[in-house]
Amino acid sequence: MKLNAAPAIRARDIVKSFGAQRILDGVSLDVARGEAICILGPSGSGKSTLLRCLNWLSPPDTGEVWIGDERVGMRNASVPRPEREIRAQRSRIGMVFQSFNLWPHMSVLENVMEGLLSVKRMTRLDASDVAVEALRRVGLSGKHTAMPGSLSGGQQQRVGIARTLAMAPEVILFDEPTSALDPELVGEVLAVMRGLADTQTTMIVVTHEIGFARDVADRIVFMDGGKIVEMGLPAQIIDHPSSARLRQFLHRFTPHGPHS
Amino acid sequence: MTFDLAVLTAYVPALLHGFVDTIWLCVLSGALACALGIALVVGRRRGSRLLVVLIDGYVALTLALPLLVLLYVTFYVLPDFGLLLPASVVGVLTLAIYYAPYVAQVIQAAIDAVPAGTIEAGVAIGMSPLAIGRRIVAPQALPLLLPTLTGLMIGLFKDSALLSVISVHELMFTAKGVVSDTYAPLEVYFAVALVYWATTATLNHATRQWERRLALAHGVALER
Repeated sequence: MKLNAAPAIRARDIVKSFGAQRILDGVSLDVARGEAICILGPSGSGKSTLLRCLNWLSPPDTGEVWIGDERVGMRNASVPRPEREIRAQRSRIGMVFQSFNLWPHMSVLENVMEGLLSVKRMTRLDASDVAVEALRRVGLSGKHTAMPGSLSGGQQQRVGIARTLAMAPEVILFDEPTSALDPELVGEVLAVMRGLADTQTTMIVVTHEIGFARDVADRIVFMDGGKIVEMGLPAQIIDHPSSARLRQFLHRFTPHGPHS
Repeated sequence: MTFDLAVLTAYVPALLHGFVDTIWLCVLSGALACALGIALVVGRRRGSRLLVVLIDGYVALTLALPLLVLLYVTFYVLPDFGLLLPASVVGVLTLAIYYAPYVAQVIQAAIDAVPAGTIEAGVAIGMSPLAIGRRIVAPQALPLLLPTLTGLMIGLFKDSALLSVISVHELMFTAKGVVSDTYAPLEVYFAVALVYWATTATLNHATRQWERRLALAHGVALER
């Protein structure tokens, strides 16, 4: 077992509504250091919103998020943290986006260096060293001077991962990282993520890649209707789903299902 | 009727002087208009409700008024309230006040065109609003902003001729003086028109080049 004792990130009773629509309805989740969690669920189940609550991009209405032993976004139950402290916390929580969100006016290397320069206040020399290493880890050593627009989707997403990786975050949130990719490009991104999981990177991955989840995740979370419906080991969740909703969901993704 | 540019020879220094004054007035009011335009954008985004209402009122009012009317109001009405300023100051301020809302609109449109995801990526990595503005929004918005902003500045340059009606000493005002000396309106206004045209064309060309360089430097494709 590769899990250490203290949780890297914790969510307690997260509730989030947009207007009258309750997107998250009391979600609690502990992720141990070094653990890889995959979150499955139909669209609209609140998976992406949960990730955005964890790094305070979209502050929850009620509930708590903790990174290590620090409460995210709030000093205590009623006092919000100043923006400056929230920014420091965000820099410890990495995020990889479905649509990459690279900065199109910067080269690949500059994209990876930017956070190191303007958030971590590193010198250009140090930042460049860290960025070069991050790009090596995602297999893009030859692309330092390329502009994002000239790369394939798979390469762009690997730059997105390197950009996050360079910040050395305590946990990385992946928001459907392969959903915007052509099918033939999905594999290279999943391979990089598999490598991260193998080196004990704490990660929470919202994905529709059931096969990846089964192979890589330490635990799988199934969400529906803003709640966690099932949570457990991959074998248990995928091969022996206990709820009808999960069985129905998995059926759509299995090779024999109608939407394989 | 004769056309003899030689009558202008004695007046070239005066006309040149007028032209230099025009340039100064335009640079000053253009810079002021841009500064005020940025302030309007920031104020509308981050200001209190009262400030937003005030800004909206100001913008609606200036967009509805002809520049000439605004010019007469500031020049002839303000002194009645005890505010007596030199004509050139009134001219510069009025041009700036008149053009600032247009500048603000152009900046706003360029900022809105920056993909939201690139800003969100900056927020998520922990960048400050200032760093996001400087490092992410501005470099992407600038190439979009330049063509329209130059268009506005060329408009401001041409409109500066209107300042002659409130006796600001610039090219057009000087030309009027020369006409009353020489009784040669054809030659004088021909020369003046040529100068306005040449300046506008140069400005146009210079921004084209600048745009191209920016687009190359930032790897942003110009859509045209």
